[in-house]
Amino acid sequence: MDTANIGVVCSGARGATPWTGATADPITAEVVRHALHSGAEQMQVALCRTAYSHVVYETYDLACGLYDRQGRMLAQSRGLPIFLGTLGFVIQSSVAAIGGEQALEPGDVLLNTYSFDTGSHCQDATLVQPAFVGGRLVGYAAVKAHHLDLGAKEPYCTDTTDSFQEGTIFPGVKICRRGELVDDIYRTFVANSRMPAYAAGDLHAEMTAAQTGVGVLVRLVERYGHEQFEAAIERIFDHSEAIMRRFLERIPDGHYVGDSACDGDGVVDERIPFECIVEVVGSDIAVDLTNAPPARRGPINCPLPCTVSAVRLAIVSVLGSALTGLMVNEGHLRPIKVLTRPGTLFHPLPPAPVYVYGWSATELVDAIQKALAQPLAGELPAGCGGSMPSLVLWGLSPQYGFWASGQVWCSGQGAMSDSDGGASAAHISGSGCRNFPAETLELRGPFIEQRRALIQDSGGVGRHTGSLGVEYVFELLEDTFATPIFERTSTPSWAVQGGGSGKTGNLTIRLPDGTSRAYVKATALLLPKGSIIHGASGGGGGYGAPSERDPAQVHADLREGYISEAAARRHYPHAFPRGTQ
Amino acid sequence: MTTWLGVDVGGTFSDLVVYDDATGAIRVAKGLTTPAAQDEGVAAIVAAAVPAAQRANAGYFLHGSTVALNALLERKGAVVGLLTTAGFEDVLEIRRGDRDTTYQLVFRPPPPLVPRRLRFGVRERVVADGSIRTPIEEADVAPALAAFRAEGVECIAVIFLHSYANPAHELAAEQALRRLGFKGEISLSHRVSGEYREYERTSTTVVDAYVRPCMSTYLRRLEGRLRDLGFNGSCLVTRSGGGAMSFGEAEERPFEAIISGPVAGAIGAGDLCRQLNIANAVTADVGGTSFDTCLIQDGRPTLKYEGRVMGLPLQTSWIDVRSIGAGGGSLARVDAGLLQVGPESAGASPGPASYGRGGSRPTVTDAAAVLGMLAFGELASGLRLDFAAARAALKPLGPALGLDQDGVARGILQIAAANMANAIRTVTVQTGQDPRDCTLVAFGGAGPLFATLLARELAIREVLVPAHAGNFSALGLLTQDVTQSTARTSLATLDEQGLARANQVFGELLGELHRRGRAAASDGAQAEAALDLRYLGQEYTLAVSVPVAGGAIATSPAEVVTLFHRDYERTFGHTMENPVQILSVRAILRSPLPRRARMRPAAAQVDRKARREIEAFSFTRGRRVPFGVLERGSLPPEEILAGPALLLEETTTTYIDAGFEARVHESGALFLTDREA
Repeated sequence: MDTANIGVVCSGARGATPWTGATADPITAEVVRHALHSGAEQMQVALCRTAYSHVVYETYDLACGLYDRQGRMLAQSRGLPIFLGTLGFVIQSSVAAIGGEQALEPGDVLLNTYSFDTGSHCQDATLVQPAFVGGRLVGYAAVKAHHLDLGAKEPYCTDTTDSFQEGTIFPGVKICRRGELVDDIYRTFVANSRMPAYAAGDLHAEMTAAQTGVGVLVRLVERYGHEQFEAAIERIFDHSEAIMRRFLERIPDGHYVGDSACDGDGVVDERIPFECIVEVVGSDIAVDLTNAPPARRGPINCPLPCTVSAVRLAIVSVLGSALTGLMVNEGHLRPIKVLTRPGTLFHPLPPAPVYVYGWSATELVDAIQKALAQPLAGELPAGCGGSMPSLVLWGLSPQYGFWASGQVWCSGQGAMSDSDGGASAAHISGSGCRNFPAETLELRGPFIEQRRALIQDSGGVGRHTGSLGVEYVFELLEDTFATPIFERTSTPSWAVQGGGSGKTGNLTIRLPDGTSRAYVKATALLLPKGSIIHGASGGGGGYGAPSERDPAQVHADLREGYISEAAARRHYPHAFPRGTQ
Repeated sequence: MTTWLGVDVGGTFSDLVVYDDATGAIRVAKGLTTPAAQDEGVAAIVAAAVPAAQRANAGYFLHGSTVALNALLERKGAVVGLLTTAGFEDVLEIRRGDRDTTYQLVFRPPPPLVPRRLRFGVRERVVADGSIRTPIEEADVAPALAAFRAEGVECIAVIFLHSYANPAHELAAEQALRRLGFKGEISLSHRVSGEYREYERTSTTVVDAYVRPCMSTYLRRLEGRLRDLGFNGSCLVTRSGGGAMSFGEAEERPFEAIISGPVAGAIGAGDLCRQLNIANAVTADVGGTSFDTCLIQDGRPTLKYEGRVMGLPLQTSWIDVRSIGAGGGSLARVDAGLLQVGPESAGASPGPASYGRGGSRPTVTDAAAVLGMLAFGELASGLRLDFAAARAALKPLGPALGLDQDGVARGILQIAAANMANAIRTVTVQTGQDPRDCTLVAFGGAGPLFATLLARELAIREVLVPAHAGNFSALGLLTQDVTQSTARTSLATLDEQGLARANQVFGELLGELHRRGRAAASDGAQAEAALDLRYLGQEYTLAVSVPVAGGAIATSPAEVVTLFHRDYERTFGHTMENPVQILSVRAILRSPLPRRARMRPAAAQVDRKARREIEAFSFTRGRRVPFGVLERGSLPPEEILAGPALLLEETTTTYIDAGFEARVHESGALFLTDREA
């Protein structure tokens, strides 16, 4: 991070270092590139296979990455895309916190839960393990994983007013020293969780993953030698940067404005609109967020490392649509700059609350893509049905003990210039996030899923239609606490060229006494046994005027029940000529 | 002592292997695949290549087919109707919500195999412990069936939540459908898979129903044709997870045989690696249409417990063979100034231009022919390559690329090889295995043609070209045991009580397998057990093999915990003190087929003086150089032959580029070593 103008912070990737060594041969570079990518994936496999909480192994609320000695990203596992490139920040701050590189020894593992280092809420405990070969530091393996509980005021909160209410802060400390667990830190970590067995198990899983990553780095450097390895990674970075620049050059120079809004900060229920300006000059791209609203009293603030990640994700995923199997590294990120102003929604300062930062970050991704859809008309879809609609449930049960269960749902995708939105899917911020099978959920908590279905008529109409939102209905079998986190209940998916927006999502709770109420963000609602929770995600936006839709397609949708007859006749009268059925 | 027949059907060719136990002799033949009715081609090749007396005496027919896979790829399976728990009709379409590719904003999965109008809910509910919360409303079945009939539904898939814990409602739905007169096939999810996760189980059950009629029709027709030819032995087909099953069982469980063809090559390569003590290998199986590759470690092809085809998950064991559209028939074209090769293939019909069967578009085979890599063009089944047709097909590409004829041909080979090498990187590098530490096992009709190109592309030093490389997948069919396996999710703590419960489940699973295997040789079958174990609270499990005696798990909880800790330590590098939980029980029934003597290739018969020479393109030298042309059978064991050379055999041609040398192992396998690496 380098500071430019007073009051404005410019963040970006680390540049190329002058390299005077031999050039790597393309085969070695290619093998190393795949080996690093595969190494990051192996870390994720090790983490998921040993993790305790299903938020990790089913939802992939995690990031695993390999970094070089300078903290440049070599590879990152698929995990949560919104974490793209965040681990570099935490490596930098954690290593600085313990006194720099010289304080690192083989077998050390650093633990960091400080939001302004990790770019996450406290629960996303991050480990950084240095890799040494022949006594020389060669890079880092870093792992971030969401822990079910790390001592916040509630197991999941939307109402914190400072970061000290959000969990236990470990500001970059050694959880392992020379390969030995530091017992004082470990016991403090576990003791601060409402679910100590999960905290311990998931922490061990993270250590396994970090060790796996370090093993990959060590094996590669031992195989190719320091010089060849470094030459290979320089070549990889340069190659990736060239690909990214070739793509960015296609975007006409200019300023493009995108906007979105958050549905309240969790403390105050009011809409929080914001804008971003995307500036393209040649093959450089900058996202200007200096006009973002001031940081909020509630935890919707997005710490800077995550703001930078969100910007990267928004841009890289446009490229990713064209290049399948993209393996992102620091090279791709070099042309991207982010401008923020400290004290704002996207650059909050300690001790601002940040617990639900992921939802503002996701809105930011959508706003940037809305801006990019102007110069890249025809290449980007209409808006999706919204960011990650989520529900966290927990309780104390005779059968399950203290249990907690978090879910993220998929929503409708936007239509393209040449195709319907297709299936509903996870938001691109969590593209690997899988919704839980009802059969898995019900094995682990006292509730029954009554329904999981596509919502008729929820997709935006148009020449091509947005895909449908999804509804979920749960019946609680015991008294249960609930924290719903919703966005885009008031801002529907955006449409393109005369298409219609999709329906917005919502969450309603019906109590056994028959009363019901809608919620956007709420914390630890105590719901009595027998309550019914009804959640719906939004539909995707349509593309093109409905009058241009192929009548045969309208009738096909009608046959499948994607659209009701009333809606079909209302939006597509041309498909029902007078005198026909 | 008996005769074994193996037939593997590929996209372009069908391969036959005949093995005689008495002499150890192997005979091979190749015929064109008949895509419209694969059984015709299979019967034709058996009739043509196996004498009537040998057919009558043969004991086993082992088969690898692509019928089920093609039905899925081409979406030409049955019209399926789906019954689900009411409220969960859309699970098949909602999937798990994840995108295939991380940073792919625009994501369009293929439409579900059962459209929404053919998915109906039935009011019923079983919960996780198997108890019934809402009794089944059988009246809901009738309107669904009426709709199915109106739409011509052939097969019905039934999946109710938690049916692995209590199948009563699925069985009740089946009875209701039968009572109402439905005569078609019914797939019940608990029979297809005893494992939890409703989307994956739904997908597996729907695939089962989707491929059932075509598989059943095919297997019955094929068996009929074989009987007509005088064959009286057992008919077996390969599973996706390895091991053979009877045709009868394959009709019942066709989803287990989705990728039986490509798997056989991987199994054969694993068997060969065990014989030759090769620790790490990767296969390059190049046919007419596709390239298949599989990583083999310690003689075992990589095995998974969940398969995936066309993005659809399948809860079944699955040998991890990756496939791309690149082979001898892959078509070359120029797109916006760039030369592109595949995935479109000329297939068996019309085939490459040089086959003279009406094809005029240039293929990889045509390029190889033009470069002299196929020597004088005398191919299997008496086919002679038409070189003029090959040159004519390549000609239009030259001007668009600014290249001469050899330049175009060379580019086609290089691009095809690079695509194949990328797939090999996927299975090796992406699993942490450096391909350079692997032996490349090249087979299939065009595998030995690409062997040295791929080795150079991947910096692999050693290539193994098995005996009968052109028919190797069919040969692999003959190296399997008959196996059956099943699993059921049955959550229990690992203590005396939990293990007793697991044992009870194991007994039930074995009973089920014995019933299924009634048609196969299940006498003397060995029972094997594995438990999917995890620490309490974890999700993922390790499958740990436990000892079996007298059809029951014969061990104590403490011993199982010790086994689990040992495997956990080996896999993850640590163990924990938490209690251990049993998630699922797996039962395997293995019936070793009668012991086969070591297979021997036919002895060298060809006169060495038959050596000829041709000017062919060398990728190592970047120009045409003289290549020696020899019959592979003429090389005596252990003698070293330096490239450049072309080795001819009945069903394939081995291209040995300059810089490589060849050595025949006593087993008949050919080793190619890069001397310039």
